[in-house]
Amino acid sequence: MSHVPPDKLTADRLAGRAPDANDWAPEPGSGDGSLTEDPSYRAPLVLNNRSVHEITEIVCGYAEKSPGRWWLPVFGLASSLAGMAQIMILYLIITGVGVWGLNNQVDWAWDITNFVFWIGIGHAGTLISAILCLFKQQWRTAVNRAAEAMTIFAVICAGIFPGIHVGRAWMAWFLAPVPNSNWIWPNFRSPLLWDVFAVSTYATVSLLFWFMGLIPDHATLRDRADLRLRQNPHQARLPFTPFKPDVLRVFIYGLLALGWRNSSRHWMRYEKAYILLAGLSTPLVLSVHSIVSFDFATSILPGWHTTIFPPYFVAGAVFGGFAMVLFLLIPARELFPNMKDLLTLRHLENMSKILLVTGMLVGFAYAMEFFIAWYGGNDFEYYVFAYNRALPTWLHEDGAPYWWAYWTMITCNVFSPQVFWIKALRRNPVVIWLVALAVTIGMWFERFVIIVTSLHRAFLPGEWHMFYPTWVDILTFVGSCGIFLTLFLLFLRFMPIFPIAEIKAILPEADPHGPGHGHDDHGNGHSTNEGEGH
Amino acid sequence: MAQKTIDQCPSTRGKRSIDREPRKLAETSGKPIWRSADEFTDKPEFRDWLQREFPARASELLESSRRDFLKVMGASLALAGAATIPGCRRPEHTIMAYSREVPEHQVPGRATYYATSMPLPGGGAEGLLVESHEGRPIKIEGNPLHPINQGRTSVWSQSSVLDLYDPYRLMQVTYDNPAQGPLEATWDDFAVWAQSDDGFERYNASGGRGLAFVTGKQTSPTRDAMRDAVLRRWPNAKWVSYEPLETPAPVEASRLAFGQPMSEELRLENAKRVLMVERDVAYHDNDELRNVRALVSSRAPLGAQDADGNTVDMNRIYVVEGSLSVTGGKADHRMRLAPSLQPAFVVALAKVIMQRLGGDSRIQAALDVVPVPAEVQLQDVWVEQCAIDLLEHPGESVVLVGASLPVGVHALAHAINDALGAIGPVVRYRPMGRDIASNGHAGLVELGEDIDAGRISTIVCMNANPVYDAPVEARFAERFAAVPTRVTLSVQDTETAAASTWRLNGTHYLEQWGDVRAADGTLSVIQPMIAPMYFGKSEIELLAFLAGEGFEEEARLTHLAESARKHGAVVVDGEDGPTRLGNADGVFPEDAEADADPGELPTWPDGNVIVRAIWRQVMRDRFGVTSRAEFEKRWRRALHDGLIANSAEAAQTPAVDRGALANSIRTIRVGATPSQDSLDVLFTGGRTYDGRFGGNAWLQELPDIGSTITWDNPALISPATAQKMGLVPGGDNPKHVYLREHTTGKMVRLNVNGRSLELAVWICPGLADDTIVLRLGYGRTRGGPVAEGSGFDTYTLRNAGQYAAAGASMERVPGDYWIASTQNHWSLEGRTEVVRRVELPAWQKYGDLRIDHTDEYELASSDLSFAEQLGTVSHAPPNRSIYKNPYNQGDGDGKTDAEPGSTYAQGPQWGMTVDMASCLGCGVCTIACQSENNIPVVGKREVAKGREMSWIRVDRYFVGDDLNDPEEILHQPVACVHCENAPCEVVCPVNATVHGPEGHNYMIYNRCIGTRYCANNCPYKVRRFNFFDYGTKQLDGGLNPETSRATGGILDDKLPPNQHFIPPRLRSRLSEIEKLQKNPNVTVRSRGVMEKCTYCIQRTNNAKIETKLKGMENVPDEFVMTACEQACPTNCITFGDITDPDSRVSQTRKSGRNYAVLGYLNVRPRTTHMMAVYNPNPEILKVLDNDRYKYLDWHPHDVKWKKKGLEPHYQHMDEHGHDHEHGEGHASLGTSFFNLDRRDEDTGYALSLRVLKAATAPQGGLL
Repeated sequence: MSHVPPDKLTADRLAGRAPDANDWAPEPGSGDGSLTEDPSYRAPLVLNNRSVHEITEIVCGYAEKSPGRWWLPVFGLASSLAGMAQIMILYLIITGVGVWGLNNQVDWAWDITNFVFWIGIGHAGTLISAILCLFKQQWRTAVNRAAEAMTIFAVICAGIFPGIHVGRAWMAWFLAPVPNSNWIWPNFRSPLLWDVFAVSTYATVSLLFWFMGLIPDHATLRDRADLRLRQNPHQARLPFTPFKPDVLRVFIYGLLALGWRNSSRHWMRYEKAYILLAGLSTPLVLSVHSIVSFDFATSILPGWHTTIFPPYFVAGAVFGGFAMVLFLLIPARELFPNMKDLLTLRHLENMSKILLVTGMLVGFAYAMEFFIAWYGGNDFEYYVFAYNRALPTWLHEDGAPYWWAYWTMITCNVFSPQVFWIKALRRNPVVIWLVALAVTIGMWFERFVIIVTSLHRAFLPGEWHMFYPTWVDILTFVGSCGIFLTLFLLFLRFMPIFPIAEIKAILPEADPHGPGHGHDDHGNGHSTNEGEGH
Repeated sequence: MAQKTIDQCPSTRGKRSIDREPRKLAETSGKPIWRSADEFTDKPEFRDWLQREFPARASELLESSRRDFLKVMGASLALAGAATIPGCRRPEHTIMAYSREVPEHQVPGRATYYATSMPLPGGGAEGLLVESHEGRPIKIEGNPLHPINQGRTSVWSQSSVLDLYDPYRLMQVTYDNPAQGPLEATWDDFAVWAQSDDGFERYNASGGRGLAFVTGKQTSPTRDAMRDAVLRRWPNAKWVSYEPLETPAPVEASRLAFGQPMSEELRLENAKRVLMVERDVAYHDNDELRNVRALVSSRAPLGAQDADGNTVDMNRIYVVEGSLSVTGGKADHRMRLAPSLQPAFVVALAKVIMQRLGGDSRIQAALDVVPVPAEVQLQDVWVEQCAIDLLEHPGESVVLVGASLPVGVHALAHAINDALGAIGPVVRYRPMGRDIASNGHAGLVELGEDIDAGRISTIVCMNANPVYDAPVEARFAERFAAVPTRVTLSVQDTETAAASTWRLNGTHYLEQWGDVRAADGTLSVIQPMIAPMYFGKSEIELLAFLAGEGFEEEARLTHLAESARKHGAVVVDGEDGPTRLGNADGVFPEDAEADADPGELPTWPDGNVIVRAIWRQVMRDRFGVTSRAEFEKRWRRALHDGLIANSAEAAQTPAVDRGALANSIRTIRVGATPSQDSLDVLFTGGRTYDGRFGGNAWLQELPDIGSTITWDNPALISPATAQKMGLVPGGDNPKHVYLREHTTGKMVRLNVNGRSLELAVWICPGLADDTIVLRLGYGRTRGGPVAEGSGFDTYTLRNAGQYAAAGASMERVPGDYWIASTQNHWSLEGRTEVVRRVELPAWQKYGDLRIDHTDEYELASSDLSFAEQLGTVSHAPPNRSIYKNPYNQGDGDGKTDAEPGSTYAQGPQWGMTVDMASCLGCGVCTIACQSENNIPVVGKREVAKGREMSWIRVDRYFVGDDLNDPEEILHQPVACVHCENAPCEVVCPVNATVHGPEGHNYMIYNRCIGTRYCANNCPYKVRRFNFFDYGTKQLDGGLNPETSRATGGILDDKLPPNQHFIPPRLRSRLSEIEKLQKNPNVTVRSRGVMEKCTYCIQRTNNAKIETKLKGMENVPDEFVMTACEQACPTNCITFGDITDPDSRVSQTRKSGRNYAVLGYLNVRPRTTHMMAVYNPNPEILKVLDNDRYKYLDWHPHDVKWKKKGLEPHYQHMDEHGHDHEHGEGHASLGTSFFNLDRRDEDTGYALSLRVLKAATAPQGGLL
């Protein structure tokens, strides 16, 4: 705790008096929010001197006003795709798993590929919200809400696939350890069962964490609606409904706010719960994808039976998750007004660096797989990597039929993030977006490569068989993207997509040390606003 | 005329026309399937019922369902013993099996077995035991007493039970009225018509002029007698018996050689050297079961002893062929040779033999004048060494040539066999019957000319399908249509039946009385397992009816005896029938006689009565049985056994007319070497035999020999030919044909014999270059959806009696054709440890060598057999597992047996061995498994996607450097191996697959939710998933011809798009008829569950119950056999208790050839494989393949390993054997990192072992 008394400026700020504008001129070097080489100050996390009130207005504005003409067509498309996914699932369940291109050699293909892909997407959210929270990385506040939302939605998409890919979906409850008179329990030795527990735990904790953060912001939305109603009791009703929009808002946000009254006790408990949940989530970030990787690592199939899988999968998941965050938020940043003030280039740059690091981690894992396959001396395993994956058919007659999938993966995951070594490129949103797109594709192919290329040519050549997706495979995956996008668009439209309270806490005004005091006592690390001068 | 005819049939007037939809069982015949055979024969009221109601107004019983059946069954059982309840409608129990009295030996729920025989096309028979459940025959097994079968079956008999339940069979008599179209009729309508002047009476005056009979060839005494009877009545009638696959050349050659047509009997068990030229003794041969058994008898046991205690030497098989045959796959030396050059080969061989042996001078002279074109080049060394090998084994070697070769070559083969002394010890002869010897194809051509001349007014076709399969010259289809009256008796819906005026539904052999002589002459009985399901008549019944033979006396006596016995009278068979009667209840024969009112006898003679009558004659003539009592005794014995013991006709060793042979040899003409413009064509039979089994979905889905194609018969060509002609699908590399979703063949137009046909081509390694192999028997246009959708009608290209043609040309036409092949990978991809094989010298040298494989820390040890030393296990550290298997309490060591007292140490523990030395890859195990375990067929579309359901498959690999000319073809049957450490079990999240205390890997369908993880983790890929409702829905194989045809090479699949959207779930369910085939002891699986081999657990459990009831402790060896084991004609599969040291499976597991496929994974499979042993001629190898000879001690096909620098494993066997050291020898071997030997030296491994050792040490030294 600091015993330094607040100076006048801080006192003014706390009293709600606007600071002197002259004190807030941004340094030219960090005017766009990107990182600067000057160690004496940090790039601001919020640009354009947004005041506390302005932040409330901006963020609540997203949830209260129409985001623009683009939203409805995009939402229409996404929800149509989501509807198509439901039709595909219905068709699958009515008909049988045979509508997919699976066969007796390749018993998992796009279904589990999609599952692992979506689970991986979910990793960025928890990582940002939990691990970065514990490490007090304040830049997380600009993206954590959206990333956590993506986590939830991705886990929803991921949860669909294991549920529908089984032959008798109506019996899927056998997976649950339900006490029964026959004394039949699930097989606790099976990684699939661990999956059930890991994914459901992860989904629960992520949802709680997300919801916990939303409570104060929901309360803000509730109170604003209530105020508007008081100011203007004669609002127009929503078309075809007896409801006024703000009446609905008060009701719904009121429910979601759980009676938040902004009291200090609430804040104290909120902070404690938040940090506890962050602590709870942190191991989950590592565990859930490790356990998903056990689906493969504990089997005896060459190409799956690899001890490197748990760290490799976690790194890949973080990699894919951040790519998805960037992939969605960069366009959102353009489409929503003032969002660039909150989500600055510095954020993008940070996340690009994470992409670079995790991309090299997975690249290392890819290389190590080959090394071990060669070094281990097991010819079946070596064959999988050399002849099932890497060797193109045009180079060798026994080459891998899916070589193009493998090299798509390598290109997207290992080569494409390398552009971030160049500063100009990692500060260019278009480049970042393209790399994020490539990584998203590459991470899908990574799972496809692991699953299908290992399976299609296993031990006995007599049973080798190719896998080809059917139209149901393809439309189900596309539809799952639709489900994800639908949920995300709804989130953009109706939820506080930035944590209002947390962003306010990283404003210069929130710094109890204030400008001019922190430097000597605590070093640069505590100063979030270098614009004040000395 | 025809209109008038129909008017004479009172009951067909005003009948509705029929369509092609299969009829529901209840609609056709009520519930009669469960009727027992004896009731069929003897109940007067039943006959009455038959007369009155059958079949047009069949009893409108409830829609058959299992529940209804059980209801009726239960009610009937309750009424058992009680008399008929007055007031009931004619009760069902008259047609129910056990309604009146449950036979003492019949326990509902327990199978009964009856002996019968299956007549084979073209003569011969298989003796069968048929498993029946509640009167439904469901499974065919071989009759152990039958000399042909000896308990085993061929694919033909094994699959025949499915034909019985074919829902597209002919189900009723139809009369095709030219004015009104097909009308429903009855057999009585036919009888009335036949006995009228419009029918057959008009031929009485002319002695049958204008009447013709067309039948298949059969060796049945009763059929022959009925034929004679018919011809007695109408002596001027024409009688043509033919088979599409009859073999005129051998018949003619035997006529030349021996003065009369004779069939051969091979005694290959006596042959040490066998040369076959385009001859497959193991397929489409009426003696095939005996042949394969004899052929492998001196290959499989290797070191086995004969009856005298002498060691049996291994035989050596040479095969020269242009196609790829079953025996060709087993050959020690196989030469690909186009059919045009095969005569040159035989001539060259004969020259060497005759020169060395100094054979008959006339034959030598004849050989000298055979012109062999100069450009014909043969591998001289091969020919010469083969000849020397043959003649060095006089009396133990034989040359067999196939039907595709001309008469002269057959004559030459007779001459060679004569010179080698083979006639007698190895091959003997029997006179052929008149029908069998006749040239049916010539007969059909002649008949066609008679039709053209207007000399034929009525044709009766019986169990023949000439409209489809007659030689093209006969132009039979169009001529047949010109005959005014066409009567066809047929079981299946055939093209001929469809073109007939009277379509008579015949009986399947499982529902008829009859007899047949097997290939060795054994008299075998055909007795019905079930009353005719659609009230059909058998061929002999129809013939007897037409001949006017009523057999009244026999019928009366039979009826009397049966009836008296029914009343509980003690019947003593006297000279003249049942003479002594009377029993405690005071029932006297007079009552029985009163029952048997001759007036109620039907006009139709009964098959049972006919056979008995004929057999009385046969017994009298052949065995001197005159008294009726003795006959009855023998008859019952025959019914029980299925045959008359020792009734085989002795084969002869006839004198050879060398002069005639020499004359014939002079006629040999050697063709030119085929080329791209002048291709050779071979016609061979496929999985549908000659097309008659085209409606049999099991056979359609059984992978073709060599090519593993299902549901089709594309033209097969060698990879080199395909490459040369630009017919490689999907690119230039033949290895890449599998890189398509539906593998496709290119469409070509094939011109041969002046005719052309558009069909697909497919590549099959091992065929002769510039040779096209065509399978006959596909492209049916009638016979139900299974038959109609598949393949191309290659009969349209074939001349009469032709098996080989030259001068064909082939041109590409637009379009591709998708082909469903179960295995597109030809190569073993260097994985020699999966399918191990060894050559005889190495086996003799090292076969007994076992090495003790202990790691340096003595933590794990294993005793490795010779075969195991050839795999990874010998060079990898012994298997250890941290996890202790609770069942064997062992430490997971790869070889250690179960700890005493553990579950696995207590019997019975089931295990199996599969001997690849005797496996020919015929596929009967697959069919037997399918039949026993209710395995559905999935159809072409699903097979193409890789979803075939067969629990046991036969993997086929071509090995060798040259894909075009593989050195060997290996077959490996693979089913679930029931791993003790099963990888599938740990990964199943719901415990749906778990281990049993007897070593079974259980699959619990009810618990399975279908995650398919088990299948992913199965290293053998033997698990089968029900992607759709295959088991309970009708086949939807995408067999619509529209879907199969080409679409310009872009789209393989022209299924109308809307059909994609019809969920299979909503397609039709199995008909009641199809359900009857299912084995009641095996669950029919729903969609979404996994399934796999169960080791036929229903049989095992049954055997355990039986032995327990008998008070025995253990199940004796051979008391329980799995379906595959029981069917395999070469004893390749052995199943039993591995804890019983005397069981066969324990013995085979001890063999030096025994190894676990992928044993290094430490899954400890209970099914182990036994390495194949080959016996190549070292002289040929020395010249043709220097390297191979140099390394005679290693895998000749181990190319990939060699390329990678890994030396062949057992080249260093001496080191292993003598000093157990991995000495310096290894250090110098190739590149080191592929050398598994060097892993022991790896410090990382050593370190981990140290850690392991410390961890398991009692002090817990790890810390």
